[in-house]
Amino acid sequence: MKGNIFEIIPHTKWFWLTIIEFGVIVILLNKLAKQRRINKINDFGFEKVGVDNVETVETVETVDMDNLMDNIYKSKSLFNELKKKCHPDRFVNQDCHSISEKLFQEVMENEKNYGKLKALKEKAKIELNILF
Amino acid sequence: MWNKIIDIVEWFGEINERRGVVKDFNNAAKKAFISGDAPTLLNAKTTLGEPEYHHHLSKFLSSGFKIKAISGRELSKDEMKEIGAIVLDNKDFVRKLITMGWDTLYVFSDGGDNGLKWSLMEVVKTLYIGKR
Repeated sequence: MKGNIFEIIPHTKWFWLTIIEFGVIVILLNKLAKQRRINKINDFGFEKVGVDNVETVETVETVDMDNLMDNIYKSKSLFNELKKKCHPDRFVNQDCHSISEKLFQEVMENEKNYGKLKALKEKAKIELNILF
Repeated sequence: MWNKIIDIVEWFGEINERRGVVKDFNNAAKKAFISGDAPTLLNAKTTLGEPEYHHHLSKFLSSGFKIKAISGRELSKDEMKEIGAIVLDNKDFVRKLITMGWDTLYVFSDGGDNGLKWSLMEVVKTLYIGKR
């Protein structure tokens, strides 16, 4: 009985190792095929650019994830508040009517941008004397 | 031979960068949930993408960016739509996802198999072109 168990374990180990190896080979072949396709395109007359001539540019900038979360959770309530309090109809026949129109337009354009809405709230406090 | 080694090293670098994006998203979601700003905990992970949404930068077998809302209840379609819309409204984030090999955005609620999907490339074409 003991002998049987020791016989089975190495077989299963090799089986999984082979599967993993096969997976790595498939991924590398895929990568190679992609590279060949790119080289083929270059052969059709596109000029190859030397690595030394290319300026190193940070292609992918970092995204502020905290701001993204604020956009998801906080922007809706702030947008609704600003939409009501900065509505131009509240400032009819007043000097700040044109300012409120402009501000309202900006609020509508930045419905899902919490950072911008927060800045607009501060602007509204100063320019329209609104209390939040 | 040396080029092949460089390719493999670059490939592992890309994987790390992709993992970093998912990790940053999850950390920001956790932070928002712990601070009480978020009623739901969002969790992102990489999955298979939709074959019809593939573009030339899509990664093999891992081109789906799946966001799951863990809220203890099933989210309505509108709630999921809103989460997706806000994520897609962040141009930098969407561009980053595309350049790093994702092509499909999924939003799923807690429990159940119901979810929504968007083609990132289509979003860029329809929403961003013309808007700067």
